[in-house]
Amino acid sequence: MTDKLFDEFVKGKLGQHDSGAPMQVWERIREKEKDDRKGFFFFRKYWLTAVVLLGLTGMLYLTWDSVVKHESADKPVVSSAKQEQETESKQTETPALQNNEQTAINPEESTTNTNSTEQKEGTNNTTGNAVKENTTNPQGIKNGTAVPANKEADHHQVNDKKSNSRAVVTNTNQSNQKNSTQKQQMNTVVGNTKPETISTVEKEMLLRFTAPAAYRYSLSTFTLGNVPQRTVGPACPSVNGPRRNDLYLEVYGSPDYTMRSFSNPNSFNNYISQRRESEDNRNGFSAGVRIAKNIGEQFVLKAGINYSQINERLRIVNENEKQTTQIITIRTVIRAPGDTLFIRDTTYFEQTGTRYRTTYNRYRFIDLPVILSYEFGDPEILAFSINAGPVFNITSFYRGEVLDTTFSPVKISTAKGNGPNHWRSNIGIGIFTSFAVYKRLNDRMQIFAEPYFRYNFKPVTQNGNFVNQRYTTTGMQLGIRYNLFSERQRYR
Amino acid sequence: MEAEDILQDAFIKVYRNISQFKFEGSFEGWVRRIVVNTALKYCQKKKMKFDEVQPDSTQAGGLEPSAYTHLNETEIMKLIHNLPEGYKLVFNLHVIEGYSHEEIAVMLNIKDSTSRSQLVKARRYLQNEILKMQKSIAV
Repeated sequence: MTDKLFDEFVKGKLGQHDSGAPMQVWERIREKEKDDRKGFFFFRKYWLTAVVLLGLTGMLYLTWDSVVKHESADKPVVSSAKQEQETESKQTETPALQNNEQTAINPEESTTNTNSTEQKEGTNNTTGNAVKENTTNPQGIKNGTAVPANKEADHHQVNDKKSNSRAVVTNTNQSNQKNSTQKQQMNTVVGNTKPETISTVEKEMLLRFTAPAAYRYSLSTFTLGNVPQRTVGPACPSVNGPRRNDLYLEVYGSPDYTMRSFSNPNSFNNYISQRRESEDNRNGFSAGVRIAKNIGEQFVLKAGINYSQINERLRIVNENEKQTTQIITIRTVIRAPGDTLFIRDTTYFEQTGTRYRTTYNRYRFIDLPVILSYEFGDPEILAFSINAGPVFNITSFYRGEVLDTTFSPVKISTAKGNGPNHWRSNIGIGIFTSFAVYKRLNDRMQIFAEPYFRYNFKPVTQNGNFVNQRYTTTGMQLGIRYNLFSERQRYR
Repeated sequence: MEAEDILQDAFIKVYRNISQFKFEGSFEGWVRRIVVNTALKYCQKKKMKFDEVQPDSTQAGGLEPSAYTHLNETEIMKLIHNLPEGYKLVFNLHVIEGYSHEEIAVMLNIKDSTSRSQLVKARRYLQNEILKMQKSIAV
């Protein structure tokens, strides 16, 4: 028996062999199919929504947190000063303070006295009342400087509601907020205090504790949670002026318009004109996230991840499309019980017409942009930047069809080849230039609009292709810039 | 179990990519090709080695056609199943599925000559096994 006969024998035996698949296999396939659909749906919609919501919530939380910290950083200023004042006063035990301590034994009486003083003397004497109020707080004296500044401030806030004398302290706080430094505030305290209520020794002590109070003020302002943070401490101005130290997170999205160019080393002009006729509607979008760090005062270096997509429509019109339809008619004639006749008629008819075939192509690119910016303008109002840098393509992937040399649609592929449908999986380096406008929202956030232009050095088609196809993109990036170092001291 | 897994994966691919079927050719052929490709991917994971030998057109050693007549489908399946992996793959693709050696070479990333030699070896192996069976029946 020859090889051919042997092969035919085996094929004849097994050609129609049906080993059958167990039912559980089909069940598993069905379940898997359902799971895949769920996963796809989840990934495409819920997952992205969750990520966006999480990001927005995080930003809101951080922004809200900074406002609270800012407020609480202002309040302890008085309490720190008060504690200092109380401690110093306690140690010196001047006659005036002894009198005040005596009043502290009877808080009710003290409150009444303070109120009466306030009514008589009006607002001009509020700081003097503050000194009295400090001494009438036995709890503050007991706790001393060990009481956390925030708690102390809160304690006073609660007391404000309970007694009018605490309201006097609140007025003092308000006046403190207006002053730029604690030192100035304490000088005001001394200046406004009546000579007849504070002795010369006490006055001297007040002057002495102003320096540490000012130090504490500066420390509490630049700390997180009242714990000194060396790493995020205030930046020192340099000899040449203020020093900028910012780290930004930028998130943006952009509607894009893409321009396509062909170059044809082999002069396939007819093919290119056919391509131009059949493909249109090139729009797209891009989105990304990047980190930006200042270099000096006006230069910023940015790097991140950018996703961009180009949409294109391929329309093919075939004017002489022929369609053949086969109609099978089966008639059943029951001539007698048990005598059934089946009549089967088969008819063909052919139609000629115009057929429109539309394919929506999607070209996707993931890039790593590295951009150097030069910023100018007033960041508190409106700032501008000129940006430029290389864009490194990480990967490119495509879905869709293009015409081949016979003007038939073929799928775009990243496999090796020299056909018009063989495209690069990595388009290499491009150049990015843009101009951005920044508008301040608050200390942490800015919105920006950035018209940009991107040119790719390499075509999307592979090397050795008979036609080179290149895309150049322009768009308008709209986004939010978030300052990760906003806790730092600012000098402008 | 391996065949069931391959079948499952292949049909999931069919479901996922059903929109890509453009009615160019038969649907059965399209599904068959997906199943074959899925099976080949499984085989590629095993990293099978194909011995490089020169094609040998030696015919089966003295087996008469009547020797095959008593073989049924199950026995032939069993014999093919017992073939070494490389032989079995090429034999199935060429004899059962009808792929040419050039196509098999592309699919398996091997040389045409390797495919041919594997087929020859597979045939010889099968014929020897049939001969053994025949002898055992005669005894």
